[in-house]
Amino acid sequence: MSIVNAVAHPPIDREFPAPLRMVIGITLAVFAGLIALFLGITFFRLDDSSLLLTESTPYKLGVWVTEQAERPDSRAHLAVLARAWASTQGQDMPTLAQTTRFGQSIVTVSAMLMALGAGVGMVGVWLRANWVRPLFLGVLLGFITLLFIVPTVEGEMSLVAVMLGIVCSVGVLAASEAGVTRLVAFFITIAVLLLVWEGLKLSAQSVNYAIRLPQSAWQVTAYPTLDDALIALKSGEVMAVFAERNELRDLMPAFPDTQDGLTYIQPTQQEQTFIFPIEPSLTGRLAIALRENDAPQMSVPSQLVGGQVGAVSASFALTRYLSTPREVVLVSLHILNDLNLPHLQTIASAFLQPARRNGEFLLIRILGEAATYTWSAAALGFGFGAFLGLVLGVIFAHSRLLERALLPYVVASQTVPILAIAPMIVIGLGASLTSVAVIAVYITFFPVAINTLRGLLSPSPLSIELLESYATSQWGILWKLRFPSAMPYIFSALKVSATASVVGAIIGELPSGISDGLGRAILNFSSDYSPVSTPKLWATIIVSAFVGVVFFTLVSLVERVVLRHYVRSGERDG
Amino acid sequence: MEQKTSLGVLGGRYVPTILVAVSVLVLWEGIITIGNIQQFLLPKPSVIFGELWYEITLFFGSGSRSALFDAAGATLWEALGGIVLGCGGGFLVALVTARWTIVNEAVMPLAIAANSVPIIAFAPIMNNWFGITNPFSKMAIVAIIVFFPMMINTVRGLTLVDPLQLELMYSYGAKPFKILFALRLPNALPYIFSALRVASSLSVIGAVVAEFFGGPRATLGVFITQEASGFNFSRAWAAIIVASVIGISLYLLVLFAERRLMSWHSSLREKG
Amino acid sequence: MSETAKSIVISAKNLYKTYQSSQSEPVIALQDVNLDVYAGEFISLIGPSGCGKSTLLRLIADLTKASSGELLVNGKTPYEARLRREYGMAFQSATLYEWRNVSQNVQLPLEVMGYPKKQRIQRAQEMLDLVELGAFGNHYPWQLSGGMQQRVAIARALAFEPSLLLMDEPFGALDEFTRERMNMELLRIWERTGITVIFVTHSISEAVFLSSRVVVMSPRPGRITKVVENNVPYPRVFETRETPAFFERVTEVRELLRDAHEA
Repeated sequence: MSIVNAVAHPPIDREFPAPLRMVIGITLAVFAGLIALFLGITFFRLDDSSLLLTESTPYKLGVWVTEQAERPDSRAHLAVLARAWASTQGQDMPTLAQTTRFGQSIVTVSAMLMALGAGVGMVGVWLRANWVRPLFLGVLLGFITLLFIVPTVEGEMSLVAVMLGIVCSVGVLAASEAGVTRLVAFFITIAVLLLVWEGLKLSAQSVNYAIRLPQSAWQVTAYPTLDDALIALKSGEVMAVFAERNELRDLMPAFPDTQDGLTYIQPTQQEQTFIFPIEPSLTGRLAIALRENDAPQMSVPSQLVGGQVGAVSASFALTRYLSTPREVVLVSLHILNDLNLPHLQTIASAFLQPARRNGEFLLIRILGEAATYTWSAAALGFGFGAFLGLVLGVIFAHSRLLERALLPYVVASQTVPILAIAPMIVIGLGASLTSVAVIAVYITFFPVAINTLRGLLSPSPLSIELLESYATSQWGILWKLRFPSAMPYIFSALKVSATASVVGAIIGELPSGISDGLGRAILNFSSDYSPVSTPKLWATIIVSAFVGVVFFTLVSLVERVVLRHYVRSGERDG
Repeated sequence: MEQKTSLGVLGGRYVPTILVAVSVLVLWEGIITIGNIQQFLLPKPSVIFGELWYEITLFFGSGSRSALFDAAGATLWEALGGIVLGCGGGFLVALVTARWTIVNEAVMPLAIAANSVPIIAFAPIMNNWFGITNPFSKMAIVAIIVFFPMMINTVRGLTLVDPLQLELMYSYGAKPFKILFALRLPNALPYIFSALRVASSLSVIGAVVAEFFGGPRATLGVFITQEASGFNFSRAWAAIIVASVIGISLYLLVLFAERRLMSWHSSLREKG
Repeated sequence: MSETAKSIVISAKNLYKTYQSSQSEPVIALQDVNLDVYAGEFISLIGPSGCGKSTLLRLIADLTKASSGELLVNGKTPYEARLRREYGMAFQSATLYEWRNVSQNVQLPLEVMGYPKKQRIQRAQEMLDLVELGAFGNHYPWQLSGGMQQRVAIARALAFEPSLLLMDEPFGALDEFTRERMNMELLRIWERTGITVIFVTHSISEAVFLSSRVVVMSPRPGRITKVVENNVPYPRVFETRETPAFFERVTEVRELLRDAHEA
């Protein structure tokens, strides 16, 4: 009777009419399949003469594996595997063709599988099947992986094709009748972010976009020689003279002492108004000669604009600095160049390339070891600090005297900026894993102590009285009531501390005494600004982010298990 | 008569703490002097305060500049700029996120994950993008650090509204904008202030630690690094104290603002 | 008072409300509800959990939509009635805004509806006087007792002079004595303003004390069992609860409820 009634009433409105969704879904699935097919065939037909293949991640990896496999004593895991495989083929070592072909075929096969999946998915969309969603999630993941494999080559559309493939897969998932689950939404957001990254770079290539505000120009008098210019400076004809630093230094060797009432300054900081840089900037090659009395008031070139300045005719100072129009740069897309924002594939490739040129180990392995070091320090310190904090919290909860006496110090300890003194602590305690761990202990113990205290004192007096009426001991009350009540508080502190411990560990690794760890790796790879180092820097940072997120997620999972029977106070019933 | 007793009560509450603080300092000074411990990393408090006092006289003296206070000013500027950008951005993004459930469900898990990333690791990248000597590269790091807590908390505050209050608004035929201003935003204030408290304490340290990776000369992080590598540890500690004081002051500012704006909230009321 | 002279404020015909749940069986919250409410009446909806009384109230308030059937409020759809602000609501918890003082809380609907400031303040004061909290305008909700907060909620519900007042167990959280006093208050306000009241409650004595008709409902599926005509004379005072007529009505309602429960 009830079912009849229910069916008699129309269901809830949908925003999108169902047939339209299906048409969109099928069309996009077809496109995704065709793109995957196109990519598979393209990759299959590539040979060693095409950059698209030789710059791709698996090819470069294959090259390296071959080189490593040629050395019998190589400790690289992949090289050992390769040699083992080669011996099954009756060879000592694999040839370049074999290793690179291997990578190439994997890509091709995967692309074909994706094409097949898309084809099957198209049928599934038409049948409104449940398995369309996991199937296309797989296709989406396949395209995302390709994003990290296919290099950007001038004139090749493969990367754009991959991006289109991602768009199509996302479209199929979003248009799915079953709606978008959390998992799907998560991956769609990741896909969108990756697309934005590469999309920005794509647009930056075609649009060299910069907003610059012109500033007033220099008023320059040119002199035939430097001596003439300096005489003019002394007599007050000009406010300052721009010249080669070396020449000025030879003339006025006792810098910063003056010579003949003249001195020179060399501003090293980038000029800017507010936060925007002014270009061109004064290079280290140039210096500014001033009258001795003027020197204290003039410290940056911008203070000289508007007055008359002098330079030697046809000198570097005149032709390359003073004659170039001054501009304030508001926006410049140089942020998106390959050094500042490498292609995703470049970063992925950096992971699977040796950390040092001709190095024995891949960057991923080096970073793995560094990450293990950092994580061990952080986890060690975290565990210890959490234990200390718990104990302290329990002590404070049971002794008001101790709480009154010591709590202010515990609070005050947090005002010490531990991260600022972290390098000094590590130097002071001797550079080792334990000294880095000490930082994590400090960071963790305070929030855990405070939250444990708050949590232990949170049960209502009524619930305590109930247990007391059963003649439960203080210890029993602690275990049965206070600790369980404190769990949510303790875990919220633990989650914050987990992240902070990783940060603390990384900062603690900055002093030069420590040779391992992610902090050191970051410093190493940031020391030079080159196409070789920058992707490695990004790779290191990604690994650091990964360590932080994983640690936090671990603590969250433990929290979920421990608290699964709790009713969270934020939830309302009914 | 009343004035005296309240002062007495105040004093009584804090005197033990002050006493112990003073005795710790005295002990510290004593141990290092008597034990003749190397003043290598932990100089005597008297020496540290001496350096601090010296810089203060430089600052207030005419015609002289205090390198320490110049550096402190620059770092404060970076921290404040970062807070404004990060909290402002976080608030705006939260408004958009809370409005549409789809965006909320997709973005919040990522924001929570991003909050557990050690943002400071991105300092070298910011230096590459904006220039090592540009204060904006440090400001950007501070902004990112405070962005996520602000966004997450604001979204929670905007969405964790009593359903009955929402229904009431609905029954009045109130438009979404009116609901936002009259209900959701005041409801979100406690959450927003909680994020601002976190932001104020993280901002100065974030700026200083970002400067560890390279920065303009007149900033606290670079000051500390340089003095430490020049073995002037007392000056380095003086700078650390200044950083600490700035951080505490910002935190107190937020507390003050909270007390003024949220006098109605249960957490700020007297018991009973 | 002949029935034809009074106008019909609420008219429900063959009203159904079903909820799709993730389990197999959809839930039928209301089945074939037919009810007419006349102007100036005080109607109570009473029944055990799941009988649909709150659902019916929410349908009238346009807080949820009917699955099928016809529902008219003042001759319009509930949606239109809501947009024309023709009813006020009060819930079991006072749901006052803790960041506004009492007067500002009462002014809330007036703000939303765009009344000018001076008029708002004046109106709020009038309403607070009506519920006898005139001196508490500057107080904050946390300074008031539960009963007082509910009175403020009622003042707020009446602030814009609706013709209909919908109440969902507003006195449920109060102790018995306060409740009885609040019942008296409510009747007094009802007599002064002459509005129509629809009152959802769990308490049989409250329903009989307050209303002119008692709608008894039962669950699974939610439906109206019977509408009981209440002949206990107005005006009703404390002593009314001790009269035989009162007792008769209470017994009648109680037996109806018991039969419905056992069905």
